[in-house]
Amino acid sequence: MIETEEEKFIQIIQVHKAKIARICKAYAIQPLDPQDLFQEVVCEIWKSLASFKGKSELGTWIYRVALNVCYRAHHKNKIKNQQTIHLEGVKFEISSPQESPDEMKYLILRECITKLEEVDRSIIMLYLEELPYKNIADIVGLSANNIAVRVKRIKPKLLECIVSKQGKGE
Amino acid sequence: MNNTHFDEAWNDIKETWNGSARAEEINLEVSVLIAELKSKVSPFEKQSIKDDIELIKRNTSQFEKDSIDRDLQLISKSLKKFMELFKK
Repeated sequence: MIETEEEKFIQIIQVHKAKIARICKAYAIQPLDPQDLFQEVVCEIWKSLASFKGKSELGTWIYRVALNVCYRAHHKNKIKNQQTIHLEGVKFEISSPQESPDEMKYLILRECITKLEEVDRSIIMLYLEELPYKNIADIVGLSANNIAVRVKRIKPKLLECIVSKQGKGE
Repeated sequence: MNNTHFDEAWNDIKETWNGSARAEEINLEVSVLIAELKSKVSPFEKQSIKDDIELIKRNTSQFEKDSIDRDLQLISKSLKKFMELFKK
């Protein structure tokens, strides 16, 4: 069976939607909305898929697109409210309550990730996604060794921030 | 914090991260989505380009504008001279 570009696109979104959602949620600090960011990423993948030459793994490329879109939205939003796309074909349904203890833990984690420098923020998100150092290096434009050193430095910093926030009962 | 505690705490962070997208189910309505992308992406891109041009316009200094004007004048003058020589 010959797979059309459209079928390929849908399959990519289906396979990678959870990872896209995690990246978008991490960047969705007010007034940014995770659902808007997700839709922006879907659009960007639609626009850029034809230019994907397979030089990197598809999953790595998806992370790069998602991070770029979220980073751009984050900075554009500081300038002024930008127009965002709305897609009726993407439906979001809540499957578990938002105010669970896990959600509180997540909010603290996100707050601590947000406090990191931009590059460190991307690195730790990709590390949490269990990407190999080499792939993280390809995405952020540093060497794999440099990534390893940075991860070693970021982990205790992040942990310290989380423990201190949990101790304050935030 | 010793190594075991550190690893445990880190595993907890990983769990929290991985579970972050579980609260929401994302469903795609394939035909609707494809039709929307085909119809919406172009106008959206145009608007986005328009916004970017506006941003560039706002941030281009008067000095740069004058410099471009001067360059353009020089190019048209040289081109005129060349055309006159060519006619002869």
